[in-house]
Amino acid sequence: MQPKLAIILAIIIIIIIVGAAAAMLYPKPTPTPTPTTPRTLVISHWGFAWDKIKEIVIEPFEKKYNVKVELVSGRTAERYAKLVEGAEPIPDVIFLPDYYMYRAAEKGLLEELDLSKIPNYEKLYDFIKDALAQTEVGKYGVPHTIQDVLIFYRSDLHAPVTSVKDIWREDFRGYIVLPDITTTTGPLFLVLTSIAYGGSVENVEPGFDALEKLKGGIVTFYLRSADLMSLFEREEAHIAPGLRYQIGALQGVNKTLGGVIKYVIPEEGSIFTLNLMAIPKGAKNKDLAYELINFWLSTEVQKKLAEAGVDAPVNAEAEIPPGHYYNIEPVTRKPIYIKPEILAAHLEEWINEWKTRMGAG
Amino acid sequence: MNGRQEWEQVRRGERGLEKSMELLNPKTLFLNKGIREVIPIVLIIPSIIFLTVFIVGSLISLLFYVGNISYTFVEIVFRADFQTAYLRTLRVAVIVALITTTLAYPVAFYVLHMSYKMRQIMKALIWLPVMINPIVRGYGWMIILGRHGLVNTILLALGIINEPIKLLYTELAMIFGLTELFFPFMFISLLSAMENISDETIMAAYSLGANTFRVFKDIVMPLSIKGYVFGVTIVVTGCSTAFTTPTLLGGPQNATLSMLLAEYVSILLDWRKACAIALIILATVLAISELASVIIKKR
Repeated sequence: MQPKLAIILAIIIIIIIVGAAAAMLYPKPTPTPTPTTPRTLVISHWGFAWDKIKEIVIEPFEKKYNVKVELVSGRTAERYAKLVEGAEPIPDVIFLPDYYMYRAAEKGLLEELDLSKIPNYEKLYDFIKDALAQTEVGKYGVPHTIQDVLIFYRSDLHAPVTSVKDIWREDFRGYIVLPDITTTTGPLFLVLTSIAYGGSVENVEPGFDALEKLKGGIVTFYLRSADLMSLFEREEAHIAPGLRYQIGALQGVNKTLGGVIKYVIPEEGSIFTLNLMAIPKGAKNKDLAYELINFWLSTEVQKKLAEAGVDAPVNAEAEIPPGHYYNIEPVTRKPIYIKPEILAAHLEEWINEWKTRMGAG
Repeated sequence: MNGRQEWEQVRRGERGLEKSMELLNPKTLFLNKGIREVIPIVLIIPSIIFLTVFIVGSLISLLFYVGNISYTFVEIVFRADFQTAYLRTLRVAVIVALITTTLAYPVAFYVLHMSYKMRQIMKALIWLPVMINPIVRGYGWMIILGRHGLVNTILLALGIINEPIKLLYTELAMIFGLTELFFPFMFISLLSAMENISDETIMAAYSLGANTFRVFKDIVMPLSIKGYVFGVTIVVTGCSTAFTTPTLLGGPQNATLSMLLAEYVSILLDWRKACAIALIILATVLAISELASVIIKKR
């Protein structure tokens, strides 16, 4: 390299480093809100079905409280990473699955909630309130929707399915699709299997023993919910465990296949997970954040969201027609909750075990 | 008279055309020698800033994330899932490199002999798969390799097999998909290298009685080796870092390093190990390309 070029390069690098350091040290001016313009409430959400959520929740809320809601969308892991990094803008309300919310609470990133400011919390299903009472994350987040594990299967080619154990039936061999252990459904399915074969939430050994016997009969393990639809559509799958919200998408596939995909709640019980709303520390509009959370839990919003196929309701007063897939009355019969503490303690171990014994993950 | 005044004369029509053209010569373009040397450096400043901030900067920050470097690396290297994924990634990359070589050399040699216009058409056609979204391409392969896919349907119809064989969600499917994806890169690097071989050299070989095979083996191959090494580097790098194609066609039961990396980032939230994996992928790819250039220098 020419000496002149080297000197210029060195100068440029120094300027960049000094500039970056100066930018970090320079105090950021704090904007003073003017009372006349509406305040802005930032929410961190997946962004799925946003057009419907906007119509059902956001626009009425904006009107009622004279506020502008700004969406920061992204997948769970991305938004969790932003929260951990303290990325601006810090959301006033963040939506995450219970496990991620627990991890965030563990890191001290969330405000402890004052439930007296969320009157609609009282309307939640009792089994959901009971579940939250078992876990630390219940102090930091309130659920806005629930997901339970169902078994989807081809009813035209196979006899009816009632139990998780039916997946082990000889006629399904070669047509089994399972969730990967790294998906939300994966650990839930593992625990459900363990319960079916004599284990428990803590003791998953019987589950692994049983799953190992399926090897060779499994088509693949799915990583995203969209994969499951596609696997049924291409007739690779005849049976697969999945989450309730996947019914919505499967209905489309069912139309092309002539309504042959059925789903059942396994007789072992409804194993479920909750998606939570929480207020991060450093949120600028805590008062409005509480209002939004309460608004989201209101009977009217919960009912409309369910009927529009957006989210299953957690509000027991939201009456959904009996035939609708988001009517979760059947879930109340035998609910099983895995608290995030258990996942946090065992997930890595389960993933390793799964990889060794199932050769996947 | 300085350059600006000279241009003023041109504008007023006081200078002849020939004299005007002289002014456009970059070597004399109203610049003295000092400025002429600085200009190229000034021009590369934006790219240097870009590389410093986004490549060097992010690499350094990766090292910070890894934390206790030696500990994290030892921890990851001794994990069974890492070892399996590492070997699988290397195996797939090498196989894909071999297949693309075998396919691309003859095709490039054939296209080299075409007319200029045909060559451009062929290049565009071969480059087409790269322009298709990887997810669409992946689903295309699913239609071909699936249980009721093209391959199984044909084999069943011909009576070669009695029931559909499992092609999808195997390492083989992954190799098919990656070969399709990286064949154009190998083809283009080989063709560019071959285009640089002067026609006279090839003509001379023919006129001295060499047949096409001899010309290919003794003239074209040795003279295009640099392009070949470049192609291999791209294919191996691409295979080691590809994510969508292996995920769609191999599935989690055939995890590669980039799938493992994604798992550590977004599921286990263990960025320390994820960074270690990222650095190991980088080091492996650099080592392979370094090895390739050492081999070529020895020749």
